[in-house]
This record gives sequence, C-alpha cells and structure tokens, in this order.
Amino acid sequence: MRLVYALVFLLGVTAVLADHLTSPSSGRPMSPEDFAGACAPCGAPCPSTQKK
Amino acid sequence: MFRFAASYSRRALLAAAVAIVSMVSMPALAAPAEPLVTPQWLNENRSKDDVVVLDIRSAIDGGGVEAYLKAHIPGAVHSDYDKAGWRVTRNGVPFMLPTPAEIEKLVGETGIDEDSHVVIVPAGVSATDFGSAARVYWTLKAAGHPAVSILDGGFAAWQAASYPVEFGKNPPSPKIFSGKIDNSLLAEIEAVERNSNATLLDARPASFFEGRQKAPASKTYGHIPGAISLDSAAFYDPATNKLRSKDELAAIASKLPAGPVVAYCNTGHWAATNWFVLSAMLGRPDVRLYDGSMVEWTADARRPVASSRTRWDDVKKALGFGS
Amino acid sequence: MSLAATEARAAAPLPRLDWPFLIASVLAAAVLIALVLIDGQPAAAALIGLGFALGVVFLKAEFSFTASWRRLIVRGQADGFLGGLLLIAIAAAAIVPVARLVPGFGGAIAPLGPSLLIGAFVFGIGMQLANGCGSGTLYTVGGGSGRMIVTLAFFIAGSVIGSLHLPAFLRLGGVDPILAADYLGPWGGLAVTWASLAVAAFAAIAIARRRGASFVPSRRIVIGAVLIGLLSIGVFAAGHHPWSVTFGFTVWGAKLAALAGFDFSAAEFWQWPGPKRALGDSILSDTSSLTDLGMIFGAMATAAATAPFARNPWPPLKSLAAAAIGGLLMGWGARLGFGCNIGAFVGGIASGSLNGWVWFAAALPGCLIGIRLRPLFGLSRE
Repeated sequence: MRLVYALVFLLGVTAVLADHLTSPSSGRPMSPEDFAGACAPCGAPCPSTQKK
Repeated sequence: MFRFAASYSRRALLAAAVAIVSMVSMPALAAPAEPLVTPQWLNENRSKDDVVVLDIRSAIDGGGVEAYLKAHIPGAVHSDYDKAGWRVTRNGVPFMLPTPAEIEKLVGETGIDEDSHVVIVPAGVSATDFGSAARVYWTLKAAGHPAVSILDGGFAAWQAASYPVEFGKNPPSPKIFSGKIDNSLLAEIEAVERNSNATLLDARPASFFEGRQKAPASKTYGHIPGAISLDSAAFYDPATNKLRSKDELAAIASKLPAGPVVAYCNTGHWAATNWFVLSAMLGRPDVRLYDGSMVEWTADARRPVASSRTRWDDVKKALGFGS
Repeated sequence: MSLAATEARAAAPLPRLDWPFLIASVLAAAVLIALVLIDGQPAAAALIGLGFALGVVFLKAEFSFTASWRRLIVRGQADGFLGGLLLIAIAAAAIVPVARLVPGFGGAIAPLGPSLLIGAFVFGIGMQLANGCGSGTLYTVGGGSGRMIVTLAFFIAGSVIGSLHLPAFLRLGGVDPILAADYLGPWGGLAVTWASLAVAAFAAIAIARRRGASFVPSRRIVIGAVLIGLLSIGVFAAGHHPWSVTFGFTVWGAKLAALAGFDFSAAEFWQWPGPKRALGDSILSDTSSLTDLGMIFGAMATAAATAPFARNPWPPLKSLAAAAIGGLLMGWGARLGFGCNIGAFVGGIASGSLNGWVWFAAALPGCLIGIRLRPLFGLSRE
C-alpha cells in the first residue's frame, strides 16, 4: 500500500503543479462575485428564475 | 475674324502669364518631399535654403548630443529625440504627442517653419533607432508640416558614403511655425475602446505581444484584444541598417486585412515605424498611431488585455530567470 | 546471540517518525503556498494553511461525522453528534451575522426541492459504505488509508457525473433558499440557528438516554469541535464563503475529463459563472481545492509524525468495492444535494440556511440504509 500511496501522491502533486503552471496568468481565488445572483455556491440558478 | 483672333490670343497670353507667375510663386507645387531620401540626394540638396537637416540622435541610439558634436552633417541642427520634448507626459501617461502649442514652440525653436523641407537624420544603427525618426516624422505630419523626409540609413550611411562632416555646435535660428493639426493621423484611447472595424496592429516583438515580456511602465502583460502582431523590425534590414525595399515592404504589408489600421506598441515608438511604412511609404489610407499604446491602455485594470502568459512565466520571473 | 535478542531484532519496530511522508507533505504544502504567494494571493495561502490545520485537528481528534452518526443510529450514542453541533454553533456565531452584514461575504445557501432531498439521501448511503464523508475522506486519505484513495477517486468521478445531472434535477422544482437572517436580521437569525442546534442536541440526548447510551462528549471531541469551529471561521474569513469540500473534487474531476478530451461546452453546470471560471483557471484559484489540498497535507504530516505511514495491508476486495460505490454515491449525491456534511450540513446550518437541516433530515435515512448495507461488503455494523 505504501508504494501505491507514494505513487498516487506524487502523481497528484505533479498534476496540481502542472495545472497551475499552465494556467493563464493573473487569476484570483473565487469570490462570491462569481456567484452573484446564484442560488448556491456552485452557481446554480434559483427555482424562482426557472419558473417559465 | 482677325479682330476675334486678336482678342482670343490676348486672353490666352494673359492666362499663360498668370499661370507662369503663379507657378513660380508657389514653391509647394514643386515635387513633394519623398518620405525617404538617400545620402546622395541630401548631399546634393543640403545647401538649399529650405532644407533643414534635423539630427535627432539621443541616448536611445547610444549617441545623443555628444555624438552630434563630434560629427554631424554640415549645417545640421540637433534636437534630442528623447529630451527635447518630441514626446511629453499628458494626464500621467508618458511619451505622448505634445499639445499643438508645445509642438509649434519646439519646431520653431529648431529652426523649422512651414516652408522648410525637414530631413530627419537618425543614427542609423538599429530598427529601434529608425523608430525615433519615424516618430518625429509622424509628429511633424500630425502638426501639419508639408515637407518631411527621413535620411535612409541615417548618419551611419552618410559616414559610410564618406560625405563631408562637421563638428561642434550649429545652433538653429528660431522661426515661427504655425501648424495645422491633422487629427487623421492620431487615434485616441476612446476611439480604440470603441473600435469595431480598424485593424489593431501591435508593433512590438512577439515576446511582448504574447505576454512573456512587458514595458516597465505597463501594468499588465499581453496585447489589446483583437490585435494582430507585426513586429516593426520586420520592415527593417539589419544588414544594411535601412528600411527594406518598397517591394519587400509591400509584400509584408499585404498580409494585413484591408481597411483602417491603428498602430500601437508600448509608447508609440515602434508603432511609428509601422505607421510610417504603411502610410508614408506605401500610401495606405486611414492609418493612425495610438500614441498612448500599452502603457496608457494597461493603466486602468478594467480595460481587457489578452495574452498567452502562464503562471509558469510568473514563477520564472519570481525566481529571477524570466521577465 | 540469545533467543530474546534475536526475536527483538526480528520484531524491531518501524520508526515512529515517518520522514519521507512528513517531509513530502510539508514540502508540498510549502510549495503550493509559495506559488499562490508569487501569484499575489495571500488569502489563498491562508486557505492552504487553514486546510492544513484542519487536517491536523481532524486526525488528532478523530473527528468523524460518519462514525458518530452511525453510533447515534445504531447505539444511540450521541457524543460525536453533539460535538458536531458544537462545531456548527461556533462557526455560526461569525457566519450568520457577517454573511448578512458585510458585502462580499456569502453563506452556504441552496434551493429546497427534490434535488436537495435526493442528493442528501444518496450521500447518506454513500458515506456509510465509504466509511467517511467529505471531511472524513480527506483526513483519512491524508492519514495514509489506501482504501480512501479508492473512495476519493470515485468521489471525484461521481462529482463530475452529478454536475452533468444537477441542472435536470433542479428543473424538477423547488423553492428559493430560506435564510433565517433574511427574516429575522443577523442576530435574530443567529439566535434561531443556535435554537435549532439546541433542539437537535436535546433530541439526541433524549435518544441516548432512552437507549442507555452515553452522550457526554470526551475532551478530545470538545477540543476538536472548538478548534474546527474556529478554523471554519478562518476559512470563511479568507474565502468569503463557508468551508466547502466537494466543489473542489468536482473541479478536479472535470479538469481530468477535459484533459481526456471531454467537451464541457454543452454541459449547463459548467456554463454557470463559478464552475466555468474554476474549470478554466488554476486549481489553486479555487477556494474549495485549496482547503482540500491543505487538509490532505496536514493529515499526512500528522500521521507521518506519529506513526509509520500507510503500512496497513490492503483491505479485502469487497471492502474496496464498498469504498468505490460509496465514493460514487457521495460524489453524485453531493452535487445534487449542494454539498456534503461540511458544505451543506455544517455550512448550511452555520449560515442560518434551512437547506442545512433539510440536508440532514434526508441524509439520515440514507445513513440508515447505508448502515444496513455495510455487512454485505464485510463491514461492521457499528
């Protein structure tokens, strides 16, 4: 298990680093402005806006 | 019949006389100033009364007034491109086109008026140095000056051809210059923001366009969204230190979309070369220079900037081996 | 050599300090903190650090929502459950008023409807099969459990699938979020929130009394609850919204899927502003991912500093199957239910939002079913 764990850990950290370093420069951590008007932190629309 | 013929010929004679007198008294109807002139042409014409040889060497080409004092074209006056006031700070943005009053004062003090034929002499050592000449050319044209040329190859070409040189000062005799501002050469930031049909032409090297490098005074890396990259150095032949041939220039420019063009760079220096080639050399209509360029554009974080810069570029810069 | 000495040699214990994993986890956290600081994001660095601390506390206190709810259901033992309520009460003290009074800060809200009920119910099943919930998965995988790697992998996969289904489930109907502070103001909302926690506490104590089980939390649980509550306030302060676990998993899964070629431009969830930005930007620009990663590193460092790391043998295949199914159900359920035990239960109630209690009410029967299914996979009923 130790070996598998170590491999998975290394792979995971490498993936995080690769994702971060290839991402476009000058972003910012998400803030509630991104969710403004949404009904949940993930941005889901409110049922009241869905009633058509 | 003779009486009719006699009155007819008298009118013709009168018309011809008026025409000849008009032509003689309007020197502007002589051949218009070529945007580029050769050292040979300058050597043949430098003694003419209306020719003003304007040496613009500055710290940008490594020469400046010291190089001028050591050796210059006989009769040339010096105006430092960087320090004399050809570009000024307006509303906190550096290197902008001066106000009409400032231009009139600068041009007049340099001994230039509307009757002069100005021949701008750069050092002739690099594409960037040529940009200084192109920017001065543009400034004079924006101020409505009718006759401006650039010496192809600059002072270096003059010396290589072994034409005579002078040393020491040659102070200009001030004149009064009344410019008529030509707004069709300038693009202001509001026009760039509203732009819908003009091609935005980025004159900077690819590393600036892509966001791997930026001017110190710019706040963000990248280019104005929608802009096309055309490094102004492409128009310049470093082997001969002159602009490329007209055919080569036209071939490079043919890749651009048709229609209006707004040339920009970091501060409107490199972009002046692009403007000069397209507008003055190739005669393309509706080419403007956005002199605020990226330094002005990035001053407000709300204006969008496009780039392919990644966080790896940021890390490289933080660790000291990037920019 | 004497027999005793030979035996002693053969049974030489492993060192208590597992250097490689201790160094790896601390180094990983440090590198990520350095990267976000280079990016000019001190709040992001704080979130990694707070996550790290959460990992330490959860592991040291063995603060398991899953196990404590199972104890409550099976034996009526309420100590762990009460610890959770204490945690929420502490977090609510800051979150309810600040979310209402300070612009830029928001609570963990969610619409109430079929999606929430189904999602929470399914999550409840999954958490009992997986032996861990949102926080539980993080601190046990960080603590060196290979079984939890399986859970986490399927948790991530289930989250992406859930993201694709959520819009359809939302169209089944529901009502807009109900926030106590909207009706009663910041302090009235806090009072109602605390009152609801008190009611739940009394109910749990009554259950424990009736079944003759203990309900007084140990010192370990109380200290753990207090620390986690305070750390949650820190996460809220740095991220401007309550601590969330499962959104991070959803983003990780989607990024992997996108790398493999999946096109999310047709997926409604991924056109909503939050998810769209998170998918296109760095993992380290997502608050949920920052605390998730920090928590894994913190738990790993703690485990490696006190015992040999990841030395347990792999559990039997049946157990791993439960881990996989449980993870999948949790991932899918958390997306539909707008979060897990942390995001929806702790976050929701601590925000004074009704979805927190509704989530709990739906997850509990799910847990009942999950507990019933455990023996099928060779897992204990307690």
